Amino acid sequence: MEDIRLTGVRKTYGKEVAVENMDLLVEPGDFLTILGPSGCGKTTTLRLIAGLEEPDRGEIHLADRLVFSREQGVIVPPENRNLGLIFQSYALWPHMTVRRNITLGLEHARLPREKIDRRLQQALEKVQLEELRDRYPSELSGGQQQRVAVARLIAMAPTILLMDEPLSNLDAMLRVDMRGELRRLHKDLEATTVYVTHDQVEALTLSDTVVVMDKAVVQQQASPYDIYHRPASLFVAEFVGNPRINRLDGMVRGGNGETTVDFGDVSVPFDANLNVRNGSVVATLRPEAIQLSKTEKEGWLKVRIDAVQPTGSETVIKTSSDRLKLTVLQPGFFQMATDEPLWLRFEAESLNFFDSETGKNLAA
Amino acid sequence: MLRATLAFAYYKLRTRPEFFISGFFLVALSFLVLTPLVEIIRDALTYQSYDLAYRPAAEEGAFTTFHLERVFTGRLSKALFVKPMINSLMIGAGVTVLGVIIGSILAFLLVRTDIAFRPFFGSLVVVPYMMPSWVMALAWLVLFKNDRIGGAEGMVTYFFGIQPPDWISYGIVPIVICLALHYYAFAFLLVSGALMTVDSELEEAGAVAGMARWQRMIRITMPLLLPALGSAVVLTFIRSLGTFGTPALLGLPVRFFTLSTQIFNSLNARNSGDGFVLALVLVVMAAAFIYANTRIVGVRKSFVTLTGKGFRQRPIPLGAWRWPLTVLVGLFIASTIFLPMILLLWESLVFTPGDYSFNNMTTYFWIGSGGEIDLAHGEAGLFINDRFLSALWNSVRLGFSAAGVNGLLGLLVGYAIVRTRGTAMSRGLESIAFAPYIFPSIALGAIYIGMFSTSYGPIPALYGTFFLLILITVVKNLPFTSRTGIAAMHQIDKSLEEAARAQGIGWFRRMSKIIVPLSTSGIMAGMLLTFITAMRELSLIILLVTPSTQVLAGLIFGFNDQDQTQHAAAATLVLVLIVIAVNILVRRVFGAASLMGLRQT
Repeated sequence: MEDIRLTGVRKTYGKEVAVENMDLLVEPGDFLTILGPSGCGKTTTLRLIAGLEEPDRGEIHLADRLVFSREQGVIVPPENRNLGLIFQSYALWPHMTVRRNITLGLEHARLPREKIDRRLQQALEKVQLEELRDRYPSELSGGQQQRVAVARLIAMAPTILLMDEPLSNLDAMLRVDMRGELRRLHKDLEATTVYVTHDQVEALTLSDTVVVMDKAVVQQQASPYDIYHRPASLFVAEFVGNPRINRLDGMVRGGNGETTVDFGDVSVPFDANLNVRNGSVVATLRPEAIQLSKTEKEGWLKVRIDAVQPTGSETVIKTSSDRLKLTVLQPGFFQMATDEPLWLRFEAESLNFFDSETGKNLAA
Repeated sequence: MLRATLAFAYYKLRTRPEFFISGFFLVALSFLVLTPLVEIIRDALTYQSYDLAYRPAAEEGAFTTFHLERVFTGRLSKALFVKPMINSLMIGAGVTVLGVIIGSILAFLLVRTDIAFRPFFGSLVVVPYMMPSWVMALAWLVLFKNDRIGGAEGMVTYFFGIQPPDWISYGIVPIVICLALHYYAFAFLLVSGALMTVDSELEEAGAVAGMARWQRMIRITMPLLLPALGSAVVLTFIRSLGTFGTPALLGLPVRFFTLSTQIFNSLNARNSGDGFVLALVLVVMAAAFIYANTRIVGVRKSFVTLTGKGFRQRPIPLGAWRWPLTVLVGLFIASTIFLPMILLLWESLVFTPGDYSFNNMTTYFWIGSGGEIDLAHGEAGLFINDRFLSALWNSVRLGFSAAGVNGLLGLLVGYAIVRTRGTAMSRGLESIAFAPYIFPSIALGAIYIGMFSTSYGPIPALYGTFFLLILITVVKNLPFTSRTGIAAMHQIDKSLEEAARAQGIGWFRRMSKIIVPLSTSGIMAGMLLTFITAMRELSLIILLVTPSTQVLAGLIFGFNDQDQTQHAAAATLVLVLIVIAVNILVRRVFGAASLMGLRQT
């Protein structure tokens, strides 16, 4: 029993495929984020769920109700899907006051006057905009407009919430606050939420589940922890995480009863059961998984420093050895001259191995 | 599977009415715009009943090149086609050059310099465009009429005792001057719109790069104005080509024919075949001119919507020239707006024509009871004149109904085009809605006579009905109203409607609560433009009116024809005052957006 179920959904615009053969399950009450670069099909997916676009084929169920199937000739318009939708632009009606923006949908649903007033009052209280009810959207700040859009949803009390990059128009400070508000909205309404973003920080901080999309195809659906630590493909590994993950090209070497991967300057043990093509693999390593020492230690890799970029609470250090280029993330404000040598090490368990051609995680 | 397909078709129809609207208007407008063209081509290439006088053996409706030969190669060709064609081209060229120069200079002075009274002049300078184009011609006759044709002479003769020569009273010189003083508004609106979008910083960047002021003007400002100038040239040329009133008033008395007056003559003489051939010539010329312009200036630029986004512009100081130029512009405005009005008012108060002395003044032609045969054919004064009152009522009725229909059309067509953007349907609808642009007014009138004089398919014969006048006014204004509609719809982000859909709000309520309120000012601009056009338009409907559907412009033309110059002058004054009053009212209520409608033409 899922709240949102897409099976075999495909959507094209002319020759361009926007969503390819998508299966998606969202559990009731789940906060699911679709993450991907622009043009990957994430917004199209959201619009298909909302009913603003119709798939070429496939089926969509919302709360066990079939809302779309071309084969069966079933289609429920967005008006009747009982969804809440938040747009990047907030889509507030500029010619209506805050109050009218919130009550228009309620009036259309023919709710009695007292009930409308009560819902309006509750929604405004929740977003703390009671005094601004008679203002027009143009008289509000960006954050206030965002909150009106939220209040409009609260008043309608939908069971499914869809959000299309709702924070991308806000400045950095406000964005952090609103992130908390959206999470709280999700909790208050107990609504199943699908959230679309290209910002991996939003995806990792907000979600119960993250879906990473690229080129119209779902790359991985998993918890934020697994997305970060066990990426299903090289694309996911490289797209998620800041600074960018280290990528190491290596050759698998057998012999002496032990299989290893040779990266040139270092080599690590390798699980011989993994199916490797032509002996070459790609490994990834998170910058924060690398330990570093200013003094020489036995078995550590000696590197040169190319750049030191402190951001305050942490420092990004770009290093290189003869064969490898490695980015290291170190907590604290790290000051160092670039001509000093440095020694690194990392655990073999921190590595993920991928097929050098398909980019698939070999352990998956 | 078929059931499923049908279910989807029904769904689209129910929830995406834009597809339905698009399809409907595509068919309806094709019928109203394209079939007439096919019809007159057919009529031009077949024998008409009138032709049987020349070719008794011919069969009505049979194919023939008879009209083509008559017009293009025959004995009459010189009088029927060659001379009018040359005259039309000379008028078109003269009006375009003069009008674009006047309009551009005014635009530059009022937008970019520190000339005095800028806002005041700015709002007055487009007033001549709101008046009928032939008002200037009537005023011209009040001043310069000579003894060439019957009736009394004008003021020049009365006050100075000299007869103006024919070339001053009639013919190409006064026609070009009068039309240029009307159509300069196109160049003014387009160029001032473009000038407002030229950021001073662009010119300052040129100054930093070491360019002198005149170099900046030529190298930076002028190229940015080129698309607007191109549009102004096309618009002015096509409009002056198809105009009827002024060449009729100032040309016909000396048998100076243009294509438009020749079309009128042919159709009036029931020689419709010749008239249709000439109308086609006008259409082809207009189309060729538009095509050439889009090729030279570029399709995207030439009809670009110029939105005046406000940013910093430093007025260029005129220095010692400031006051002389201010006086000059003031004089120009006075002579194009107030002088004609005063002349017409004076003329309407003259008892014995040609005597402009104070003790010859009378209010007879405004409130006189009429009935005296030798006084204005017994015609009563305007305010108790049934013919005038019915024409006035018809004009107002025509103006409001055409504006209403066009407002609705602009809204729906704009909505359908913008919402189905990217489909062949959307492109088709946009082209069709723009097509009437290439029909010069008099040609469109001729085409509609040909098409609706008998029943056509399911449509009964509309000739002589008031409905036909509304129809042709609506069609003629469609390019402008659909453009304002599209512009208005582009301002409304799609998400505003989608947010409403997700809230469970259906299409009709979305339209009435969101789309309509948000597009009102744009749509009103289109409606105002239609109203003004409907009230003053003579070229478009002169061929279609009958005594019972007579409108003001037609009545005034008739008055003038009967040498009832006082009645003509008085009625013209009323017409102009109504147009200006409605314009002020609409702009008061709906804001300054109303001028944008003109700017988008």
